[in-house]
Amino acid sequence: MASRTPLFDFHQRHKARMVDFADYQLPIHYAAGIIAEHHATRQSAALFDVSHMGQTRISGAGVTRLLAQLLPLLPEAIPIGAMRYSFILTPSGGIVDDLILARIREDEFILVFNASRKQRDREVLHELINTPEHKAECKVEHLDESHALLALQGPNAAAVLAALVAPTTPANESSSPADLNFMETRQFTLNIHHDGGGDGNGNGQKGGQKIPARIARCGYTGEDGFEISIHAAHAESLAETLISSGGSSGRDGAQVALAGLGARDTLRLEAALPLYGHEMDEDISPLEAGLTWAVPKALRTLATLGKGEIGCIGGGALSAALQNPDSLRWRQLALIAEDGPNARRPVRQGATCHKPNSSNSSQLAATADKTGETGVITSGGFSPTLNRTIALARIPRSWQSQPDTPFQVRIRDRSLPFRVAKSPFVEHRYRRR
Amino acid sequence: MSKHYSKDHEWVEISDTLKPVAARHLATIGISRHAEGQLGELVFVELPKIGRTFAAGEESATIESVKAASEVYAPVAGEVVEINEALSDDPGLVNRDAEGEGWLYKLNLSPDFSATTLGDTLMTEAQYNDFIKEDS
Repeated sequence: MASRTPLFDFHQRHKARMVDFADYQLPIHYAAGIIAEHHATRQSAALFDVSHMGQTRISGAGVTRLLAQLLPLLPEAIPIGAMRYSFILTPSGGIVDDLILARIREDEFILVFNASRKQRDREVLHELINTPEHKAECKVEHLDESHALLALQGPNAAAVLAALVAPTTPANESSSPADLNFMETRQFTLNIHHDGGGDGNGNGQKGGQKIPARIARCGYTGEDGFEISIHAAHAESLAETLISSGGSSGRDGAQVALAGLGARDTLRLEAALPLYGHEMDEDISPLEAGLTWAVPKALRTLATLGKGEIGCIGGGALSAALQNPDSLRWRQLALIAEDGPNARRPVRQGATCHKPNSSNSSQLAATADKTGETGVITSGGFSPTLNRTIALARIPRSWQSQPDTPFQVRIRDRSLPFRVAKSPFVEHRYRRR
Repeated sequence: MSKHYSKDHEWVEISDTLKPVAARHLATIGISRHAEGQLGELVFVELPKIGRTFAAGEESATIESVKAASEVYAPVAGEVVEINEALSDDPGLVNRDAEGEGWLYKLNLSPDFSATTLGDTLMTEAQYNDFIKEDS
């Protein structure tokens, strides 16, 4: 029986259509439906329950040394309050999982991982920690066992969240989540009403509670937004407070909609954000998945100039690949359906991708995705913003891939015309300094 | 005339029409409100070509929602004489009115078709409502 998140009852109350995902029961959408929830996120703000994801706190004197062995990063150089996108690699340089690392204090970090991989991630982490070098010094706590994670995303998210910050905060805390830049995190105290309501201006009602929450300015939609980690006991109150925010403040459209996994996927696809099990898996190098940028320049230079190996698990293979890019097999592409009767015909993971006028279809096996002879769709679906089918594809590295290059995607007996799109399909709207 | 439903959630409504030569039975086919609700918002509908004939139970159309593709099986045998053109630009019409304006296609049934045999393989509305209650 799939697990429940701290918001299970909340989802039932709000008439979610539930689905089993990564062993958790989660909403695929609510009454409004996927497309409406998608538009609400881009036009206003939406709340997603992402409590299924792994949240692990690692602390102790040797934590930066440990993390340098776990991830292709320079943890000691990460400022307190900053976050990095990275991945755990296999010894041969494939991807175990992608994740976000946040530095909370000098000797304390939080990792957030995919729900579908958290068990595997934790096995790798524990293997590394249970060595004499690290065992005595590092402490690990799995926060998702006690904490919910809520994502509030969209252009109005900052205003909604700022209104919940209690007016009196300790002197050493930042005054507002709205002051965070993209990929920054801080602890805040939120003013949470028991059953929602209130005037949306952060003024406590009788019975309102002041609850600590860690807020990170990041997300998986391409919009400005936040991920809020809060003790499970307060998750429902926070969710009810957030969805009743905004409407009474007189700001048109500043409502927070509820959104489920369906919209989460359509949003991330428009933002061209990779999804584990689609754009990445244990057989794919980050350099083949369009993720070279996530390896810090200093480490890339070290490897490329042959001055040393990256010291994490899989670092040797990663270094070798950086030194010898001809050894890489694939590149990642964004594709958009051409105008015509098939502009909205979906293509999905596994469909093959070919140069136009390529050879007879009988030569192309359905399982040709890793033979180097054909490309493959890694994620595909409908874009509500662009009102047509979009897809991410993995193609042989030698193929042309400039924007507007035509490709054909084959499903059953049809060849559908696509062209290379600029990526992301919908511009990111992150708040950067 | 009332609708009959298949266990795959298609509906069929028979009407009589006088064609130039002889009386013909025309069947309008669509998917049920229940099916539409299960599928979610449709983004694409693939309808058959006019002139195509189907046996009962044959795959006749494909409907795609944001999450998945679903086959529509012909609930009765016949020849496609009309398709709902509105769906190519507005597949959401099926969601808004699955059992009315969101019809998919119309079939000319064979002259020896008898409406009384519909109940052999298809359900009445009341029977279908019981059927979907069991399903959920």
